[in-house]
Amino acid sequence: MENQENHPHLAHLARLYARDLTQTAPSRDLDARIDQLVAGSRMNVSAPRLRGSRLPLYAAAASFAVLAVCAGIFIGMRVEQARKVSAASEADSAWPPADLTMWPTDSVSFKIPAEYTPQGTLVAVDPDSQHARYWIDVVVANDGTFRIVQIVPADPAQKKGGHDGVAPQIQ
Amino acid sequence: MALRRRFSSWFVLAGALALQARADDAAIPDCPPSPSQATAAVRPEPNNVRLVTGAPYSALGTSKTVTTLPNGDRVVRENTIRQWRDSDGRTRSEFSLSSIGGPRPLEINTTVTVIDDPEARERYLLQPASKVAVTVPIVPCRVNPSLEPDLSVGPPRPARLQMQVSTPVKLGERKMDGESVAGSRVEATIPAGAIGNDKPIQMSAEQWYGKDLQVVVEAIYRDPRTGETRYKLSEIHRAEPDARLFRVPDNYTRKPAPAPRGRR
Repeated sequence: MENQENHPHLAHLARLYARDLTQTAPSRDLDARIDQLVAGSRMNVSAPRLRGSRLPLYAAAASFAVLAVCAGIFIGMRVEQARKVSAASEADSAWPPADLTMWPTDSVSFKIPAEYTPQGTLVAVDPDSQHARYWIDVVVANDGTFRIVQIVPADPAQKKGGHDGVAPQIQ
Repeated sequence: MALRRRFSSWFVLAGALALQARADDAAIPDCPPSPSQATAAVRPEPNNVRLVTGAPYSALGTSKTVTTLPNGDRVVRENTIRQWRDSDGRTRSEFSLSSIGGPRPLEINTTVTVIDDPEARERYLLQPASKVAVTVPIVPCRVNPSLEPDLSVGPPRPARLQMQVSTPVKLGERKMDGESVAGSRVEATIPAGAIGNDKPIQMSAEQWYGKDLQVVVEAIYRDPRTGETRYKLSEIHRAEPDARLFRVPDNYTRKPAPAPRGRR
């Protein structure tokens, strides 16, 4: 009961609060604001989906990277192959037998398909044979000189080049 | 009157033929004396072929190389070239190749026939198995008989290979199988260390050149790396060879040689 008989000042404040409370009505755009907030949170949730839409870009970048790696491997293989070719050529041309010849003289250049024997010598073979692994560039002259100019690994695509053995070499 | 007209027409015809012959001669340049003496005006072209006319012959050239191995064994390699040339300068060469020496010797055992036709400016390599004549363009050049051939360092070799070549020494002239030949000799040295050698490598070449036939009649090459090679032209006949030798057989198909994979 004591509590019902409040201080006159407090009682006055309580009446004011009660009056404000009766006058307070829910905002008309509250629902709209709630919808807006919910929609905003949905947009935030759907942001990863936007990132998902960049997937083709990442795929393209990954493909490009794979392509670059493949190109690197291919170029590396070609460089290695070229190095082997030049090494073989250099090894032979650095040791040319019978360097001395008369000028003018008559010489003919040939390309001869050959393979290595287990003894390390070269044997001429049919170019269509599976064993034709090298082209031997040979120069023969009517001053008695017969020289191997260079040894070049055969290109498998050129195996069936239409030659039936020794072919002339354009100098 | 008719006789005079006939005479003048013959005169005009002869003059025209002479002019044509001179024009043909002018179309063929002189061969350069040697690669080292080549100038911008006279420089060897790819596929240069010497044109020697009016000196037909047939002969057999034999090249024998004897290599002595470190264990004392001897390896003998012999290759032959049967050669013909007619008065117009067409040539036929039959290369019987058995083995070509070098750091990696090549065993072949085949005969290759090559016909050079300077007039057609074509070289034919006969492939009997497929009845194909592979054709290669050639550029004929005329040998200047007044220029004595030099012994020179022959076909191009790696620029980095150092080699000191002496001035050719003339060995005089002599008769060999009825042919007047002039001899020359050069010495060449690969200095120590150039190819991993601890001592200088001495080589020599001696060649006897036929002044009428304009071909090498005899040659000796000494190279400690490969041994000694002796070349000799024998069975020399100066008669005009059978014209059929210089023709591609009718049953052969002519095919151009494939283009090179990039010039060296």
